[in-house]
Amino acid sequence: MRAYLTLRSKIFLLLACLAGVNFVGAGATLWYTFSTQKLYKTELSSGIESLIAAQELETALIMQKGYTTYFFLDGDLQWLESLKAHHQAFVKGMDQAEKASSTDHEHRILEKIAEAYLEFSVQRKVVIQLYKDGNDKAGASKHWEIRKQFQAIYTLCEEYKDLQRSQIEAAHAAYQQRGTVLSGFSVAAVLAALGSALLLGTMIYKQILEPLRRLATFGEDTGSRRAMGNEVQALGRRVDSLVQDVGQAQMELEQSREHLIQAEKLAMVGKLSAGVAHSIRNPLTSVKMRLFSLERSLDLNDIQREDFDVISEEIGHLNTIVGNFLEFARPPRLRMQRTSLSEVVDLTLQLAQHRLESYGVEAIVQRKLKLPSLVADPDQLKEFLMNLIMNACEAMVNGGKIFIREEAADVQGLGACACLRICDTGPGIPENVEEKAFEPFFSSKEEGTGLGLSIAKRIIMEHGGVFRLEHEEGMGACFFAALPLEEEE
Amino acid sequence: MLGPGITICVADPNPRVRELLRREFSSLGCNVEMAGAAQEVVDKCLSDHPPDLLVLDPEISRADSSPILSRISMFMPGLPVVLHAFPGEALNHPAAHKAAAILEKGESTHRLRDVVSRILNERSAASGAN
Repeated sequence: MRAYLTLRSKIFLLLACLAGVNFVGAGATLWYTFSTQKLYKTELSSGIESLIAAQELETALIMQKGYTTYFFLDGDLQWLESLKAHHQAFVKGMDQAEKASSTDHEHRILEKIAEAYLEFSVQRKVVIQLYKDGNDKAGASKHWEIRKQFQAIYTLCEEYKDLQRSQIEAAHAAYQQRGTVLSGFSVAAVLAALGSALLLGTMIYKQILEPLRRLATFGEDTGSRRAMGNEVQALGRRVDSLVQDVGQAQMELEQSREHLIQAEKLAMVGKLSAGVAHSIRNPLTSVKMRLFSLERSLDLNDIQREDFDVISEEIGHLNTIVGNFLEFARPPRLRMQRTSLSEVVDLTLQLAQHRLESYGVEAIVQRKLKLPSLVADPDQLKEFLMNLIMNACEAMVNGGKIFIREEAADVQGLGACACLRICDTGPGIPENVEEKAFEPFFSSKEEGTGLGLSIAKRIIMEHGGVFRLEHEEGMGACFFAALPLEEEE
Repeated sequence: MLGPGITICVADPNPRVRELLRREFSSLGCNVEMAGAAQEVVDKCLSDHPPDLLVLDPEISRADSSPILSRISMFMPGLPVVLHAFPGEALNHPAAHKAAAILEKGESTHRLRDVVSRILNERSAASGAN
């Protein structure tokens, strides 16, 4: 059954038990108080009154006997007055006893007392009259006779008193019995209340407080747990933090979704570009080859030669654009090998020498020591550098300088790295396009494909490195690339 | 060595390039056979009169599940193959090591002619020595 009850139901049930036990306990105490009062009022109070009345009857009876004897001894009428007063007291006592009596047995005893006393009173009047008449001898004889009647009344009064005493004792016993029952009940109620409270406490601790504490201290160290204080407040803080985290995560998710959509669009554009580029490349190659063939048989004047060269260059440019598109859409698989970045720099500059000269650009390598070797694809790194060099050349239309600074340094998040800073003396990248500079197909140049920096970044990222734009005093565009150095086996 | 009696097979998906190369090699007196599809290349190489050299653009077997260069190397191990491919693709070609030479497409045909001539000379010298 426990399994079917929810935590809320269990707590309500236990609270109801606790309240029920307290209610029943309090009700029983009230009932006991009222019943005790009733017992006192009915049994005990009337018993005591009857006992007092019986005692008064006895006293009045004894006094009457005494006054009669005193009158016999000195004949003083004053004793008869006192006798009369005690006779009235006896009658009053009988009246009170009659009122206080409730059982047949009491009534029967009182009736016997009344009958015997009436007879005794009549005979005593005879005795007194004989004494008044001076017939002391007959009076004394009669006086001796009524002693038996007096003894019988006295015995009845004693019997009545004993009866009252036994009734008081019975009431007392009943009171004690009720007290014992109530004490037992109270002990049971206290135990039940204690049990319910313990169960409730255990349940609240195990199923509410402890889980609350665990939730509030989840993932925190021992020191933080001790300093936590109120669990509910700590949990509240944690929930606030979680809500913020959820908000952050949602924001990041939305950003990721946007990036994903953007990436999908780019992939589609890339695929399309690759298809177009592939289709263009075939006839373009044919044109290029035919142009070379044509060149051999033509005897051109200066103007024709200039036109021919421009056509050749433009075809070469087209070829580069097509190549970039294809490379962007179908990046080659990395062929990793242990290589030296410094050697890659030297080789690339060697390959680019002709281009650099044609642009009037001087490349200056700033190197203290050759960079340590690393595992990378040297061809891809050459392409990375070539892209940046071509970018710089195209930016510096009137010539300039390219500074390539090499250094081994620790980079945050990557550790020891081989780093390159490639800066030129060109106009630099305007601040408003800095964020877009690495996006594919973004170009600030009239003839650019917008893929050079994008491909460069992809190459470094595929090597697990970082590539970013930097600002350096007195320089134009400045790029920083870092590639993690792996430990030699 | 380039001249009459030498048969060169030009395999290229672009008919204009095929025609240009045919003209170039024919002008030297060579017999030129042309193939525009992978199966044509295989047929010509396995014919009764196979070529002395194959100028191959690997793009020709782009849709072919079995790379043509590997197939030719398997059936005609003695046939020299000059890979004439687009820049960047020639070196990355998985069977590049099986080629006698690799040339980037789009340059002057002089370079191709020189390379083909050198290979044939080397072969001729090698067979003469044997």
